[in-house]
Amino acid sequence: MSTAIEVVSVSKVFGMPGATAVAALDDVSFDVAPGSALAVVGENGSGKSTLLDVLLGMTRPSSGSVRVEGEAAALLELGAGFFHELTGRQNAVQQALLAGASSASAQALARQAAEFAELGDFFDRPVRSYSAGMLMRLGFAIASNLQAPVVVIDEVLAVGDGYFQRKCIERLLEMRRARVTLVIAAHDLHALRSLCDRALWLQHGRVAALGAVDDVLASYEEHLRRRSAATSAPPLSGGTGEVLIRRVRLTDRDGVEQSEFRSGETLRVEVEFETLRPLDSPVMGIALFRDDGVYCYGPNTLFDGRLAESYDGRYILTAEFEELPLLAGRYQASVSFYDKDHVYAYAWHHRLYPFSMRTERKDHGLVWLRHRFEVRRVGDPR
Amino acid sequence: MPSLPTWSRSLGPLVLADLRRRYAGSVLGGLWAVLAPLLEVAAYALVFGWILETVRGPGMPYTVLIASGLFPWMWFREAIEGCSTLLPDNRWLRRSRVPAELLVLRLVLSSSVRALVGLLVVFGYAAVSGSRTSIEGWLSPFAALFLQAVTAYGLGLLVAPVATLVPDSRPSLVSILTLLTFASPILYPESIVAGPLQSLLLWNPFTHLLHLYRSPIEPVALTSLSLSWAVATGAAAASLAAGMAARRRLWWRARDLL
Repeated sequence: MSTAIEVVSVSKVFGMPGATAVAALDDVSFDVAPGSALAVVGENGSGKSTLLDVLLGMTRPSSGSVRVEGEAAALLELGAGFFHELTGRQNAVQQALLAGASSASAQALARQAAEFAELGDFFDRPVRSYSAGMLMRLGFAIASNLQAPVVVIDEVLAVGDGYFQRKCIERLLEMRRARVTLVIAAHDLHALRSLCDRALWLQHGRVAALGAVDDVLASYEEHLRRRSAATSAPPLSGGTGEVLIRRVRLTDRDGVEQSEFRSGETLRVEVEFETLRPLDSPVMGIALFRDDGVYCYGPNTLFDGRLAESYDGRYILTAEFEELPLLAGRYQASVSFYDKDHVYAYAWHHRLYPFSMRTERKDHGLVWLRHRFEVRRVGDPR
Repeated sequence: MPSLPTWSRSLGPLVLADLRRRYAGSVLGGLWAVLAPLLEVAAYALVFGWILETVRGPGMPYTVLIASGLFPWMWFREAIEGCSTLLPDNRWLRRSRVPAELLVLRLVLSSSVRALVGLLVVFGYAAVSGSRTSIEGWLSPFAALFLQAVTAYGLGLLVAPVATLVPDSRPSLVSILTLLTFASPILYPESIVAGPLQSLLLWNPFTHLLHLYRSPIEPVALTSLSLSWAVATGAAAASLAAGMAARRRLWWRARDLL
């Protein structure tokens, strides 16, 4: 047996009466090796949930084939599969029976689920009295204790509190060590990186990328950033017009204009400007934004306490960022000139100057910060 | 999806929980299962038997006639109407492995309390009136109970996806059930129906189920008991076959619409 899950050219079209048919999945193919974990990512409506439903046989593909080796346990939707008049314990027993367990092992599973879910007295109360977080606890506790060789989870982990989310992730890591095959759809890319070795990115029901989790999620994140940049407020300019920003150049330390910089190298922002009347101590500022709108850094001459003098004519302002620590991604620079009290703007260009950063580092986040790790032994085991 | 032997083990606790949900919490609790239909019987008896004085038949008192027919009919009606909203009421089914059969059968069984009350009325009156029916006559109500459960289960499996796929079918179903209430000898004895209408009545399988239910207290039937057995069994088999076919062909499409 070389694959635990095999999906070949699966398409799924939903036809609503009186409405145009919608293709939720379009020619999707992939396989999952036994004991490996596949992350399924994509924006809302990309077909993730339909794909998981097809995998579990909850809906039939319009074309193509799906093969799942062995029983699959699923946690797809809060409360799905629970009988709300039954208690948590009774539901756990029901789920185990429906999965084919004997009465004795169903009771045993309910005890394990009770222990894992930590619902206290609520475990023996009707499920209709549960909050969303409690339903998630119960659902995960049952699905992860069914001892199925394949476990499929769809975007429900985010509902739990921080403590239980960590508990779930630890359980999923345990399952990975036990060679359980996992398929997890989620928006928490950090958790997916920790849990999965491969990833499938769905876009409009089609496979946009399939491969190693780091590569696919990096492409997906880049896509999300571009989307966010495209939909956020467009770059603008404005001001009283008493300063004219004539030209802005982004250069390296040697003054050569660049559009891409390496993390840790120098970025110089050269602003050629002209005052249309004598101006006393204007505040000149530069701001750096990531293209999803995150404001990374914004120094100005007021905070730096320099350049307090009168200007009348044409000048070149240079702001130099030595060892720029921004991590890989797309960014934009903004330029502004304010009055000496930093109240009104003579001129500003907001996110008009794009540049990108590259680095070989794999660190997550916005900036690279100088750091070191150290572990000290402070005692013997108990 | 789980197989029949697998899911049928889940049935007992579900039916019990459903009964508790229906009747627990009220002051009179489970008594409502008996009291509500009795009140309905009393209302019909008042209108048809006493005010209108239009219905008079031989044999049993009118109240017993209504009770022996209305209770099983209410069971059937409640189960079928419940199945017509089963899928929209349980949208979570779309993303669960709980088999549809389990929910339909639970509905049929937990609604059956009313029919059991009807049986109590029949056997109670049979005991009081000193009925001298045959062994077949005594057994027939139990057979009717079983055959009606199979019929309701089969039709439920059919009605649930159809009501979801064709939304207009739901109001039509209510009208059909109302029509059937009066097209079956529930509120009146068969003997008052004359001419061609009488043979029309015999085309209705529920007429034959009523023969079986009432056999301990209604020794004179317009058809023989064996014909009623045959028709009721045929109706149950046909309903089950239609339900199974709908399960195979329609349920998947209906689930996708949830």
